[in-house]
Amino acid sequence: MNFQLLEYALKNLQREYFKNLFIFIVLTLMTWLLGTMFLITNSMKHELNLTLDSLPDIILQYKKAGVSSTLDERQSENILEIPGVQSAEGRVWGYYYFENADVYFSLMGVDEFQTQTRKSFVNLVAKQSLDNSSMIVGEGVVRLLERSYYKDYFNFIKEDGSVKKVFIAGIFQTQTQLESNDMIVIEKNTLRDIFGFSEYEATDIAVNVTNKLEVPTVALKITQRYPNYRVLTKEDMRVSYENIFNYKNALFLGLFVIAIFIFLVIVYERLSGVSSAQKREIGILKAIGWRVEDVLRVKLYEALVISFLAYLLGIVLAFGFVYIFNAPLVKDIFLGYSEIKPAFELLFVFDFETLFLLFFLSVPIYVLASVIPSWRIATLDADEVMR
Amino acid sequence: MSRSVKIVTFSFFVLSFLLISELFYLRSIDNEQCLKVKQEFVSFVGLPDLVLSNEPYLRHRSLSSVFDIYSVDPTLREHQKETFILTKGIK
Repeated sequence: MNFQLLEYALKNLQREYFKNLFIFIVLTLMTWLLGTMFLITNSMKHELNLTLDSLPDIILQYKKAGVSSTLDERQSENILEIPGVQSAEGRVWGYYYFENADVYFSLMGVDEFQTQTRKSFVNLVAKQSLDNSSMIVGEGVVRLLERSYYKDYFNFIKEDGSVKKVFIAGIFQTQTQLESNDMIVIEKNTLRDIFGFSEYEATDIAVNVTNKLEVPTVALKITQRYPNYRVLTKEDMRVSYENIFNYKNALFLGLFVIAIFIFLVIVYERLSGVSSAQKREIGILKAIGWRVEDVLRVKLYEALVISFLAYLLGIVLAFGFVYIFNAPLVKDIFLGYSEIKPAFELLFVFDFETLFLLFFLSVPIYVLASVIPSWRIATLDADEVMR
Repeated sequence: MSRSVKIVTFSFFVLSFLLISELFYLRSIDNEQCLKVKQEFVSFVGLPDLVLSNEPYLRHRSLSSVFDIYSVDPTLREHQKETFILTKGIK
Protein backbone atom coordinates (compact mmCIF):
# COMPACT_ATOMS: atom_id res chain seq x y z
CA MET A 1 0.00 0.00 0.00
CA ASN A 2 1.25 3.47 -0.93
CA PHE A 3 0.87 5.53 2.27
CA GLN A 4 1.52 8.82 0.50
CA LEU A 5 -1.37 8.22 -1.88
CA LEU A 6 -3.52 7.12 1.07
CA GLU A 7 -2.64 10.35 2.87
CA TYR A 8 -3.60 12.34 -0.21
CA ALA A 9 -6.90 10.44 -0.44
CA LEU A 10 -7.69 11.20 3.21
CA LYS A 11 -6.95 14.90 2.66
CA ASN A 12 -9.40 14.77 -0.26
CA LEU A 13 -12.05 13.26 1.99
CA GLN A 14 -11.47 15.99 4.60
CA ARG A 15 -12.02 18.64 1.97
CA GLU A 16 -15.66 17.50 1.56
CA TYR A 17 -16.03 16.51 5.17
CA PHE A 18 -19.83 16.76 5.65
CA LYS A 19 -20.70 15.09 2.35
CA ASN A 20 -18.42 12.15 3.08
CA LEU A 21 -19.62 11.93 6.68
CA PHE A 22 -23.22 11.71 5.40
CA ILE A 23 -22.28 8.90 3.00
CA PHE A 24 -20.47 7.08 5.83
CA ILE A 25 -23.52 7.35 8.12
CA VAL A 26 -25.94 6.17 5.40
CA LEU A 27 -23.74 3.18 4.54
CA THR A 28 -23.35 2.27 8.23
CA LEU A 29 -27.10 2.49 8.82
CA MET A 30 -27.85 0.42 5.76
CA THR A 31 -25.42 -2.32 6.78
CA TRP A 32 -26.77 -2.24 10.36
CA LEU A 33 -30.40 -2.44 9.25
CA LEU A 34 -29.85 -5.26 6.79
CA GLY A 35 -27.53 -7.05 9.22
CA THR A 36 -30.14 -6.82 12.00
CA MET A 37 -32.83 -8.23 9.73
CA PHE A 38 -30.71 -11.15 8.56
CA LEU A 39 -29.38 -11.97 12.03
CA ILE A 40 -32.82 -12.01 13.70
CA THR A 41 -34.30 -14.10 10.88
CA ASN A 42 -31.37 -16.52 10.93
CA SER A 43 -31.60 -17.00 14.70
CA MET A 44 -35.32 -17.67 14.68
CA LYS A 45 -35.15 -19.95 11.66
CA HIS A 46 -32.30 -21.87 13.26
CA GLU A 47 -34.28 -22.32 16.47
CA LEU A 48 -37.45 -23.35 14.65
CA ASN A 49 -35.67 -25.84 12.42
CA LEU A 50 -33.92 -27.43 15.37
CA THR A 51 -37.12 -27.78 17.39
CA LEU A 52 -38.96 -29.07 14.31
CA ASP A 53 -37.32 -32.47 14.78
CA SER A 54 -38.94 -32.80 18.20
CA LEU A 55 -42.47 -32.60 16.79
CA PRO A 56 -44.60 -35.63 15.85
CA ASP A 57 -43.99 -36.88 12.29
CA ILE A 58 -47.61 -36.40 11.22
CA ILE A 59 -50.50 -34.48 12.79
CA LEU A 60 -54.06 -35.33 11.82
CA GLN A 61 -56.88 -32.83 12.11
CA TYR A 62 -60.52 -33.58 11.48
CA LYS A 63 -62.39 -31.39 9.05
CA LYS A 64 -66.13 -31.01 9.20
CA ALA A 65 -68.06 -28.59 6.97
CA GLY A 66 -64.74 -27.12 5.90
CA VAL A 67 -63.59 -26.08 9.37
CA SER A 68 -61.45 -27.83 11.97
CA SER A 69 -63.44 -29.99 14.30
CA THR A 70 -62.73 -32.30 17.21
CA LEU A 71 -62.42 -36.04 16.69
CA ASP A 72 -62.83 -39.30 18.56
CA GLU A 73 -59.57 -40.31 20.25
CA ARG A 74 -60.32 -43.98 19.49
CA GLN A 75 -59.77 -43.24 15.80
CA SER A 76 -56.07 -43.49 16.56
CA GLU A 77 -56.51 -47.27 16.78
CA ASN A 78 -57.45 -47.33 13.08
CA ILE A 79 -54.38 -45.26 12.24
CA LEU A 80 -52.18 -47.74 14.12
CA GLU A 81 -53.27 -50.48 11.69
CA ILE A 82 -51.49 -48.71 8.82
CA PRO A 83 -48.12 -50.43 8.21
CA GLY A 84 -45.16 -48.30 9.31
CA VAL A 85 -47.01 -46.36 12.01
CA GLN A 86 -45.14 -46.52 15.29
CA SER A 87 -47.61 -44.66 17.49
CA ALA A 88 -50.82 -42.68 17.18
CA GLU A 89 -52.17 -40.68 20.08
CA GLY A 90 -55.17 -38.39 20.43
CA ARG A 91 -54.23 -35.00 21.84
CA VAL A 92 -56.35 -32.47 23.70
CA TRP A 93 -55.31 -28.89 23.21
CA GLY A 94 -56.82 -25.55 22.36
CA TYR A 95 -56.98 -21.86 23.13
CA TYR A 96 -58.46 -20.11 26.14
CA TYR A 97 -59.44 -16.46 25.99
CA PHE A 98 -58.37 -14.48 29.07
CA GLU A 99 -60.72 -11.54 29.07
CA ASN A 100 -58.83 -9.29 31.53
CA ALA A 101 -55.73 -9.06 29.37
CA ASP A 102 -57.37 -9.69 25.99
CA VAL A 103 -55.00 -12.54 25.22
CA TYR A 104 -55.26 -16.17 24.23
CA PHE A 105 -53.50 -18.88 26.21
CA SER A 106 -52.55 -22.18 24.57
CA LEU A 107 -53.71 -25.11 26.69
CA MET A 108 -52.16 -28.52 26.19
CA GLY A 109 -53.44 -31.66 27.88
CA VAL A 110 -50.97 -34.31 29.01
CA ASP A 111 -51.39 -37.59 30.82
CA GLU A 112 -50.46 -37.38 34.49
CA PHE A 113 -48.01 -40.28 34.24
CA GLN A 114 -46.22 -38.56 31.34
CA THR A 115 -44.79 -35.96 33.73
CA GLN A 116 -43.79 -38.57 36.27
CA THR A 117 -42.01 -40.95 33.89
CA ARG A 118 -40.37 -38.42 31.62
CA LYS A 119 -36.79 -37.80 32.73
CA SER A 120 -36.40 -34.62 30.72
CA PHE A 121 -39.37 -33.05 32.49
CA VAL A 122 -37.11 -32.08 35.38
CA ASN A 123 -35.18 -29.81 32.98
CA LEU A 124 -38.33 -27.96 32.00
CA VAL A 125 -39.85 -27.10 35.35
CA ALA A 126 -38.28 -26.90 38.77
CA LYS A 127 -41.37 -28.23 40.54
CA GLN A 128 -42.64 -31.20 38.64
CA SER A 129 -45.80 -32.51 40.23
CA LEU A 130 -48.88 -32.37 38.06
CA ASP A 131 -52.25 -33.75 39.06
CA ASN A 132 -55.83 -33.23 37.96
CA SER A 133 -56.17 -29.95 39.86
CA SER A 134 -52.87 -28.34 38.90
CA MET A 135 -51.14 -26.89 35.86
CA ILE A 136 -47.72 -25.81 34.66
CA VAL A 137 -47.58 -22.43 33.00
CA GLY A 138 -45.27 -20.23 30.97
CA GLU A 139 -43.73 -17.06 32.39
CA GLY A 140 -45.96 -14.78 30.33
CA VAL A 141 -49.07 -16.50 31.71
CA VAL A 142 -47.88 -16.08 35.32
CA ARG A 143 -47.18 -12.39 34.70
CA LEU A 144 -50.66 -11.77 33.33
CA LEU A 145 -52.42 -13.84 36.00
CA GLU A 146 -50.57 -11.99 38.77
CA ARG A 147 -51.72 -8.72 37.28
CA SER A 148 -55.28 -9.99 37.81
CA TYR A 149 -54.46 -11.12 41.39
CA TYR A 150 -54.25 -14.84 40.58
CA LYS A 151 -51.07 -15.87 42.35
CA ASP A 152 -51.49 -19.54 43.24
CA TYR A 153 -54.43 -20.62 41.14
CA PHE A 154 -56.68 -19.64 38.27
CA ASN A 155 -60.43 -19.98 37.81
CA PHE A 156 -61.16 -21.27 34.32
CA ILE A 157 -64.65 -20.51 33.09
CA LYS A 158 -65.98 -23.70 31.59
CA GLU A 159 -68.18 -23.96 28.54
CA ASP A 160 -71.34 -24.29 30.70
CA GLY A 161 -70.44 -21.13 32.67
CA SER A 162 -69.28 -22.86 35.87
CA VAL A 163 -65.80 -22.32 37.30
CA LYS A 164 -62.91 -24.78 37.44
CA LYS A 165 -60.21 -23.90 39.96
CA VAL A 166 -56.74 -25.08 38.92
CA PHE A 167 -53.59 -24.48 40.99
CA ILE A 168 -50.27 -23.37 39.53
CA ALA A 169 -47.82 -26.23 40.17
CA GLY A 170 -44.82 -24.90 38.31
CA ILE A 171 -43.44 -22.47 35.78
CA PHE A 172 -41.56 -23.39 32.62
CA GLN A 173 -37.91 -22.36 32.47
CA THR A 174 -37.05 -18.92 31.13
CA GLN A 175 -34.94 -20.48 28.37
CA THR A 176 -38.06 -21.85 26.72
CA GLN A 177 -39.93 -18.54 26.70
CA LEU A 178 -40.06 -18.31 22.96
CA GLU A 179 -42.02 -21.59 22.94
CA SER A 180 -43.69 -21.64 26.36
CA ASN A 181 -44.58 -18.04 27.18
CA ASP A 182 -48.33 -18.42 26.56
CA MET A 183 -48.56 -22.15 27.29
CA ILE A 184 -50.51 -23.89 30.02
CA VAL A 185 -49.92 -27.60 30.42
CA ILE A 186 -52.69 -29.32 32.27
CA GLU A 187 -53.91 -32.85 32.94
CA LYS A 188 -55.79 -34.20 29.91
CA ASN A 189 -59.13 -34.97 31.55
CA THR A 190 -59.12 -31.67 33.47
CA LEU A 191 -58.67 -29.91 30.15
CA ARG A 192 -61.54 -31.91 28.63
CA ASP A 193 -63.65 -30.70 31.54
CA ILE A 194 -62.66 -27.05 30.89
CA PHE A 195 -63.28 -27.27 27.14
CA GLY A 196 -66.52 -29.20 27.62
CA PHE A 197 -65.23 -32.20 25.65
CA SER A 198 -66.73 -35.65 26.03
CA GLU A 199 -64.71 -38.60 27.37
CA TYR A 200 -62.92 -39.54 24.14
CA GLU A 201 -63.06 -36.19 22.38
CA ALA A 202 -59.67 -34.91 21.18
CA THR A 203 -58.34 -31.99 19.15
CA ASP A 204 -56.05 -33.94 16.83
CA ILE A 205 -53.99 -37.11 16.51
CA ALA A 206 -50.18 -37.14 16.67
CA VAL A 207 -48.65 -39.91 14.58
CA ASN A 208 -45.06 -41.15 14.66
CA VAL A 209 -43.58 -43.30 11.92
CA THR A 210 -40.84 -45.87 12.54
CA ASN A 211 -38.89 -45.21 9.35
CA LYS A 212 -38.76 -41.46 8.76
CA LEU A 213 -38.33 -42.01 5.01
CA GLU A 214 -41.80 -43.55 4.94
CA VAL A 215 -43.56 -40.44 6.30
CA PRO A 216 -44.85 -39.24 2.87
CA THR A 217 -46.13 -42.77 2.07
CA VAL A 218 -47.92 -43.09 5.41
CA ALA A 219 -49.35 -39.56 5.00
CA LEU A 220 -50.65 -40.52 1.55
CA LYS A 221 -52.24 -43.70 2.88
CA ILE A 222 -54.03 -41.76 5.63
CA THR A 223 -55.28 -39.19 3.11
CA GLN A 224 -56.63 -41.93 0.85
CA ARG A 225 -58.30 -43.86 3.65
CA TYR A 226 -59.66 -40.88 5.58
CA PRO A 227 -60.35 -37.97 3.22
CA ASN A 228 -61.83 -35.91 6.06
CA TYR A 229 -58.48 -35.69 7.81
CA ARG A 230 -56.14 -32.80 7.20
CA VAL A 231 -52.72 -34.44 7.17
CA LEU A 232 -49.76 -32.27 8.22
CA THR A 233 -46.22 -33.60 8.00
CA LYS A 234 -43.03 -32.05 9.37
CA GLU A 235 -42.17 -30.99 5.84
CA ASP A 236 -45.43 -29.02 5.64
CA MET A 237 -44.51 -27.28 8.87
CA ARG A 238 -41.04 -26.45 7.63
CA VAL A 239 -42.62 -24.78 4.59
CA SER A 240 -45.03 -22.95 6.91
CA TYR A 241 -42.06 -21.66 8.94
CA GLU A 242 -40.42 -20.40 5.77
CA ASN A 243 -43.62 -18.57 4.83
CA ILE A 244 -43.92 -16.70 8.11
CA PHE A 245 -40.37 -15.41 7.81
CA ASN A 246 -40.85 -14.43 4.21
CA TYR A 247 -43.90 -12.46 5.31
CA LYS A 248 -42.14 -10.81 8.26
CA ASN A 249 -39.13 -10.06 6.09
CA ALA A 250 -41.41 -8.18 3.75
CA LEU A 251 -42.06 -5.70 6.58
CA PHE A 252 -38.33 -5.21 6.91
CA LEU A 253 -38.17 -4.77 3.18
CA GLY A 254 -40.05 -1.49 3.59
CA LEU A 255 -37.24 -0.15 5.76
CA PHE A 256 -34.66 -1.67 3.45
CA VAL A 257 -36.13 0.01 0.38
CA ILE A 258 -35.79 3.45 2.01
CA ALA A 259 -32.16 2.76 2.93
CA ILE A 260 -31.28 1.34 -0.48
CA PHE A 261 -33.00 4.27 -2.20
CA ILE A 262 -30.81 6.79 -0.37
CA PHE A 263 -27.77 4.65 -1.18
CA LEU A 264 -28.70 4.50 -4.87
CA VAL A 265 -29.10 8.29 -4.95
CA ILE A 266 -25.52 8.55 -3.69
CA VAL A 267 -24.34 6.01 -6.28
CA TYR A 268 -26.19 7.88 -9.02
CA GLU A 269 -24.63 11.15 -7.96
CA ARG A 270 -21.21 9.50 -8.13
CA LEU A 271 -21.84 7.79 -11.48
CA SER A 272 -23.38 10.83 -13.17
CA GLY A 273 -19.97 12.39 -13.30
CA VAL A 274 -17.42 14.20 -11.25
CA SER A 275 -17.74 17.88 -10.41
CA SER A 276 -15.79 20.52 -12.35
CA ALA A 277 -13.50 21.01 -9.33
CA GLN A 278 -12.68 17.31 -9.29
CA LYS A 279 -12.12 17.34 -13.06
CA ARG A 280 -9.68 20.23 -12.68
CA GLU A 281 -7.94 18.38 -9.87
CA ILE A 282 -7.47 15.24 -11.98
CA GLY A 283 -6.22 17.41 -14.88
CA ILE A 284 -3.63 19.13 -12.67
CA LEU A 285 -2.49 15.83 -11.23
CA LYS A 286 -1.99 14.42 -14.72
CA ALA A 287 -0.21 17.61 -15.85
CA ILE A 288 2.32 17.32 -13.02
CA GLY A 289 3.08 13.75 -13.96
CA TRP A 290 0.62 11.47 -12.17
CA ARG A 291 -0.22 8.31 -14.03
CA VAL A 292 -3.81 7.10 -14.61
CA GLU A 293 -3.32 4.28 -12.14
CA ASP A 294 -2.17 6.73 -9.42
CA VAL A 295 -5.35 8.79 -9.85
CA LEU A 296 -7.48 5.67 -9.77
CA ARG A 297 -5.64 4.38 -6.73
CA VAL A 298 -6.42 7.60 -4.85
CA LYS A 299 -10.12 7.28 -5.73
CA LEU A 300 -10.06 3.61 -4.74
CA TYR A 301 -8.55 4.48 -1.34
CA GLU A 302 -11.16 7.19 -0.81
CA ALA A 303 -14.03 4.82 -1.57
CA LEU A 304 -12.55 1.92 0.39
CA VAL A 305 -11.92 3.99 3.52
CA ILE A 306 -15.54 5.16 3.61
CA SER A 307 -17.31 1.96 2.54
CA PHE A 308 -15.19 -0.62 4.35
CA LEU A 309 -15.14 1.25 7.67
CA ALA A 310 -18.90 1.80 7.36
CA TYR A 311 -19.36 -1.92 6.65
CA LEU A 312 -17.26 -2.94 9.67
CA LEU A 313 -19.05 -0.50 11.98
CA GLY A 314 -22.47 -1.59 10.66
CA ILE A 315 -21.66 -5.26 11.29
CA VAL A 316 -20.30 -4.60 14.80
CA LEU A 317 -23.42 -2.58 15.65
CA ALA A 318 -25.75 -5.24 14.18
CA PHE A 319 -24.15 -8.10 16.17
CA GLY A 320 -24.21 -6.07 19.38
CA PHE A 321 -27.76 -4.84 18.81
CA VAL A 322 -29.19 -8.28 18.03
CA TYR A 323 -27.29 -10.63 20.34
CA ILE A 324 -26.17 -8.44 23.25
CA PHE A 325 -29.11 -6.01 23.50
CA ASN A 326 -31.66 -8.49 22.04
CA ALA A 327 -32.82 -6.19 19.24
CA PRO A 328 -35.11 -3.80 21.14
CA LEU A 329 -37.98 -2.34 19.05
CA VAL A 330 -36.97 -4.19 15.87
CA LYS A 331 -37.76 -7.52 17.58
CA ASP A 332 -41.35 -6.33 18.04
CA ILE A 333 -41.90 -6.54 14.28
CA PHE A 334 -41.60 -10.31 14.66
CA LEU A 335 -43.59 -10.51 17.88
CA GLY A 336 -46.84 -8.87 16.86
CA TYR A 337 -48.89 -6.65 19.13
CA SER A 338 -50.06 -8.98 21.86
CA GLU A 339 -49.67 -8.19 25.56
CA ILE A 340 -48.08 -11.57 26.17
CA LYS A 341 -44.77 -10.84 24.49
CA PRO A 342 -41.86 -12.99 25.61
CA ALA A 343 -38.59 -11.47 26.82
CA PHE A 344 -36.52 -14.04 24.99
CA GLU A 345 -32.88 -14.13 24.01
CA LEU A 346 -31.94 -14.80 20.42
CA LEU A 347 -29.64 -17.75 19.80
CA PHE A 348 -26.32 -16.79 18.25
CA VAL A 349 -25.89 -18.12 14.71
CA PHE A 350 -22.74 -17.23 12.81
CA ASP A 351 -23.45 -17.21 9.11
CA PHE A 352 -20.67 -16.31 6.66
CA GLU A 353 -23.19 -15.97 3.85
CA THR A 354 -24.88 -13.04 5.60
CA LEU A 355 -21.56 -11.23 6.06
CA PHE A 356 -20.62 -11.77 2.39
CA LEU A 357 -24.05 -10.67 1.21
CA LEU A 358 -23.85 -7.45 3.21
CA PHE A 359 -20.32 -6.84 1.96
CA PHE A 360 -21.26 -7.25 -1.70
CA LEU A 361 -24.37 -5.09 -1.25
CA SER A 362 -22.35 -2.13 -0.01
CA VAL A 363 -18.56 -2.02 -0.55
CA PRO A 364 -18.04 -3.07 -4.22
CA ILE A 365 -21.04 -1.02 -5.45
CA TYR A 366 -19.77 2.12 -3.77
CA VAL A 367 -16.16 1.54 -4.87
CA LEU A 368 -17.18 1.04 -8.50
CA ALA A 369 -19.47 4.07 -8.40
CA SER A 370 -16.51 6.16 -7.23
CA VAL A 371 -13.77 4.79 -9.47
CA ILE A 372 -15.56 4.51 -12.84
CA PRO A 373 -16.29 8.28 -13.34
CA SER A 374 -12.72 9.14 -12.27
CA TRP A 375 -11.36 6.58 -14.72
CA ARG A 376 -13.36 8.23 -17.53
CA ILE A 377 -11.74 11.59 -16.74
CA ALA A 378 -8.26 10.23 -16.02
CA THR A 379 -7.96 8.55 -19.42
CA LEU A 380 -8.39 11.90 -21.20
CA ASP A 381 -5.49 14.27 -21.97
CA ALA A 382 -4.60 16.71 -19.19
CA ASP A 383 -5.10 19.82 -21.30
CA GLU A 384 -8.45 18.57 -22.55
CA VAL A 385 -9.65 17.95 -18.98
CA MET A 386 -8.54 21.38 -17.73
CA ARG A 387 -10.01 23.18 -20.71
CA MET B 1 2.84 8.25 8.34
CA SER B 2 0.64 11.30 8.89
CA ARG B 3 -1.94 11.76 11.65
CA SER B 4 -4.95 11.11 9.38
CA VAL B 5 -3.46 7.82 8.11
CA LYS B 6 -2.80 6.79 11.69
CA ILE B 7 -6.41 7.58 12.67
CA VAL B 8 -7.84 5.53 9.77
CA THR B 9 -5.50 2.60 10.47
CA PHE B 10 -6.34 2.78 14.16
CA SER B 11 -10.10 2.86 13.41
CA PHE B 12 -9.77 -0.16 11.13
CA PHE B 13 -7.93 -2.19 13.79
CA VAL B 14 -10.29 -1.09 16.57
CA LEU B 15 -13.38 -2.08 14.56
CA SER B 16 -11.82 -5.41 13.51
CA PHE B 17 -10.84 -6.10 17.11
CA LEU B 18 -14.36 -5.22 18.30
CA LEU B 19 -15.93 -7.53 15.71
CA ILE B 20 -13.63 -10.44 16.56
CA SER B 21 -14.10 -10.01 20.33
CA GLU B 22 -17.86 -9.75 19.85
CA LEU B 23 -17.89 -12.99 17.85
CA PHE B 24 -15.68 -14.77 20.42
CA TYR B 25 -17.92 -13.56 23.26
CA LEU B 26 -21.09 -14.69 21.47
CA ARG B 27 -19.54 -18.05 20.64
CA SER B 28 -18.56 -18.55 24.27
CA ILE B 29 -22.22 -18.39 25.38
CA ASP B 30 -23.49 -21.92 25.78
CA ASN B 31 -26.35 -22.28 23.32
CA GLU B 32 -26.34 -26.07 23.33
CA GLN B 33 -27.90 -26.46 26.77
CA CYS B 34 -30.51 -23.83 25.94
CA LEU B 35 -31.37 -25.57 22.66
CA LYS B 36 -31.63 -28.93 24.40
CA VAL B 37 -34.17 -27.55 26.88
CA LYS B 38 -36.15 -25.97 24.03
CA GLN B 39 -36.17 -29.28 22.11
CA GLU B 40 -37.32 -31.12 25.23
CA PHE B 41 -40.15 -28.65 25.68
CA VAL B 42 -41.33 -28.98 22.07
CA SER B 43 -41.06 -32.74 22.29
CA PHE B 44 -43.11 -32.65 25.54
CA VAL B 45 -45.99 -30.48 24.32
CA GLY B 46 -45.76 -31.46 20.63
CA LEU B 47 -46.96 -28.08 19.33
CA PRO B 48 -45.16 -26.09 16.65
CA ASP B 49 -44.33 -22.39 16.16
CA LEU B 50 -42.87 -19.69 18.35
CA VAL B 51 -44.72 -17.09 20.40
CA LEU B 52 -44.34 -14.66 17.54
CA SER B 53 -47.98 -13.81 17.34
CA ASN B 54 -50.72 -14.32 19.87
CA GLU B 55 -53.71 -13.80 17.70
CA PRO B 56 -56.33 -16.55 17.90
CA TYR B 57 -55.59 -19.50 15.64
CA LEU B 58 -52.31 -17.93 14.60
CA ARG B 59 -50.24 -18.84 17.66
CA HIS B 60 -49.86 -22.36 16.29
CA ARG B 61 -50.33 -21.19 12.76
CA SER B 62 -48.79 -24.29 11.21
CA LEU B 63 -51.75 -26.23 12.57
CA SER B 64 -54.31 -23.68 11.39
CA SER B 65 -56.03 -23.41 8.07
CA VAL B 66 -57.22 -20.25 6.36
CA PHE B 67 -60.82 -21.02 7.29
CA ASP B 68 -60.05 -21.33 10.99
CA ILE B 69 -60.35 -17.58 11.40
CA TYR B 70 -64.04 -18.00 10.53
CA SER B 71 -64.43 -20.61 13.23
CA VAL B 72 -67.78 -21.03 14.94
CA ASP B 73 -66.29 -21.94 18.32
CA PRO B 74 -68.26 -19.87 20.88
CA THR B 75 -65.56 -19.81 23.57
CA LEU B 76 -63.25 -17.61 21.55
CA ARG B 77 -63.86 -13.90 21.22
CA GLU B 78 -63.19 -12.55 17.80
CA HIS B 79 -61.05 -9.47 17.46
CA GLN B 80 -59.94 -9.90 13.92
CA LYS B 81 -61.46 -7.72 11.27
CA GLU B 82 -61.91 -10.83 9.15
CA THR B 83 -64.63 -12.05 11.50
CA PHE B 84 -66.93 -9.25 10.34
CA ILE B 85 -68.92 -8.97 13.58
CA LEU B 86 -66.92 -7.78 16.57
CA THR B 87 -68.50 -8.52 19.94
CA LYS B 88 -67.23 -6.83 23.07
CA GLY B 89 -66.16 -8.88 26.06
CA ILE B 90 -66.73 -7.98 29.72
CA LYS B 91 -64.03 -5.57 30.88
